[in-house]
Amino acid sequence: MNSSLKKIFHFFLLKKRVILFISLFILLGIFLPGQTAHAQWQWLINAVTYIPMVTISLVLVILAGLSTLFAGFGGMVLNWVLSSSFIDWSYTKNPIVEIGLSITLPLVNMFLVLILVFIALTTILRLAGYETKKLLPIFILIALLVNFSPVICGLIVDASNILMDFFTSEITGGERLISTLKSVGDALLGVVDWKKFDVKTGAETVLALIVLIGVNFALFLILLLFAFIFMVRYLAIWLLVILSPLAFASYILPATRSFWKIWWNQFIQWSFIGVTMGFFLYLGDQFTMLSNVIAPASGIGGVILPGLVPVVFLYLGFVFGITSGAMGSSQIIGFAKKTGKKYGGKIGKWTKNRGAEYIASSEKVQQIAKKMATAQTPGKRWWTKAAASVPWAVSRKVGHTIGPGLVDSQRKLIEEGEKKLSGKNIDYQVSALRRATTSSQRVAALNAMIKDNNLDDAIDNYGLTREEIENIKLDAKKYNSDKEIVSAMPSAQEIEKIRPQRAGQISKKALEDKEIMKAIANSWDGRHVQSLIQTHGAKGVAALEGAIKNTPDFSNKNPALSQFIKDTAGQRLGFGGGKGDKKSDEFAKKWLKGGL
Amino acid sequence: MSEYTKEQLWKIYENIPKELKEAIFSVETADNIHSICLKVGVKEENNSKIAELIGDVLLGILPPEELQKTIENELKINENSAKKINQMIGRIIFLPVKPALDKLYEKEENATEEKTKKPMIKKIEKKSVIGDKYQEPIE
Repeated sequence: MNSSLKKIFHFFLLKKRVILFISLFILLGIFLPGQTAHAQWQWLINAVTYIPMVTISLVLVILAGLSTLFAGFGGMVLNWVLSSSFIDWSYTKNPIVEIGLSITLPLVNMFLVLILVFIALTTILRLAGYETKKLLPIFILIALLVNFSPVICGLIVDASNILMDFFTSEITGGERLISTLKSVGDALLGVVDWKKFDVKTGAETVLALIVLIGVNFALFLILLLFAFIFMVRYLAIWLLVILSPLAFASYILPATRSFWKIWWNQFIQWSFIGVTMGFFLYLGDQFTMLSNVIAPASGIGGVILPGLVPVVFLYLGFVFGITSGAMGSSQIIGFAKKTGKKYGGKIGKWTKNRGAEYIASSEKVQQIAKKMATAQTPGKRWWTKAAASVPWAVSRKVGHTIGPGLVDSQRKLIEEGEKKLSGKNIDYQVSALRRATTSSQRVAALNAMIKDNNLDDAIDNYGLTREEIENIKLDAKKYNSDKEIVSAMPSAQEIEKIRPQRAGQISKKALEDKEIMKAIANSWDGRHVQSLIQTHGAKGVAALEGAIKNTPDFSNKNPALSQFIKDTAGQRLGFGGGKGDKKSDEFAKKWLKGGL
Repeated sequence: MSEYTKEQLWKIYENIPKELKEAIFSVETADNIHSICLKVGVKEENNSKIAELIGDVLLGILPPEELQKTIENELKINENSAKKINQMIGRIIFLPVKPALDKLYEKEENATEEKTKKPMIKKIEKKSVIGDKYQEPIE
């Protein structure tokens, strides 16, 4: 390579006189005729320059043909690289990737076990800080995702390929441009009328041929560069897919998270560089078409321009494509980060809440989690116990986190919500209930309403239905936060479960239910009644009186309440027995009609 | 004993102090009534009557000092037994709510006293102006 360059250099050194002579003739041919052309000089100049000009033009025409061939070859290579026949291997599933993954995946699984042991040890030794506790959910998520990392990569690559194909399916790999340049060559040959030789036209043709050759070689190089980038893209994506399990796993620990960032940047860049490159190729192709239309119809400039402009444009496109590939991907990452922060927080919170709700309310998951959380370390001898202690500790921790721990956190959320809403007016509480997006928020709002004795008001004046209450009660049951709702709107079966201090929370609607009242007459005692009367006063007594009168053999069925009624100092206010029967009946009837 | 309708009694109930309201329907009061009756040997069918009278006192419609006599008349028992029951009720049931009870009956007394007090004061004033011979007349 060096020797040939030296030879060329020596040739120019030795033959500089010849070159100088030829150049002089060309320049004279271009400038003199326009300036001081005289008929007597013109024939002489034409005669002297004819042979060298024709010789040079012939050499240049051969070179132009060759350069067009080269450009065509570049276009062919690009077309081939872009075509499906270049390689039919998938980006994520091919022998190379499979061999790579067979190494990285087991390695990552080992890595995951080590991280798990690390988390377990820090938990057992109570070294676990907030960060370590945070690692566990990330660890579980990554452990699940790591084996799907090629699939996830495939999704991203496919998305970028769809975009890329949109552009590359339309381009001709420079074919249109090459044909334009070929036609430029033909046009140049047409311009030169060797029989009526004119030195000015000859010089213009030579210059145009030189530009054409340069443009052709430039096009050849650019098309090869495009092809090279598309080829390297395959290899880069394969390599990145092979490394994807390691990259995913490195996300778990804060110390290794930088590796994930590098990998992610590279992966996005190499996936989307195809899109930007495809776009500029497409644009170059379209520009060729356009320049054919808008180029000046006559003159050498008009002949050269349709070929020159798109090539320059392609070159600039390539440079911009290379830089914007990185730039674009970094912008995508930047945009993703920004959007992630803005909406991800909300979505994450929503997803977290929903996810937590789903797990906490799923009976099956809770059963498994409960078993895991309370499991005893197996083994009879100390070494078997010691060996099993770490995995069992982890299992207990996981079980606790997704089982009782999650239910507990939901309950805490409800309690916090209750605290916030307690003491607020009924409008605020009903609004909170209607605006609630999670079941824990709904339970909190209803509990606050019940505690503030606003439930009857909500039913009577805000259209809160029994069905709504029943649905919220079902949710509350899952988080063991249903005591308030059960007390306020119990079923007949739940009456006996209500504690005396909560008996006063029973709603007016529930007191109108005959089955519920029957259950009250059968199962409650004086403590319940005391609490009931404190809240409902005369209405509560009347409802209970009515229920007792409709319960045959009441004193035997509920001796405790029967005894209380005989001994209570509130005889004349409701439990008067024999003497005031008629009056109390009327009173009870009035109450049930809502007349009191 | 005056006859009140249930509605009237509930209106009275709404206006008595909170401690008395709680005492009327409290399980503790009911248990205490039961054990007093048991100790003194009141027939079980009379428990409700005693409970009713205690309720009247707590509602403010039967003054505590009239309870013994009312028990004696209503249950037709001798004075000693009625006194014993009354003492136990006073000590076990009324004592914990004594301030509220005193306040309740003081109000009633004040209400009746005020009716009679005003003319007496006028009489005294009149007397003092006319009858005090040692007092110099005011210009």
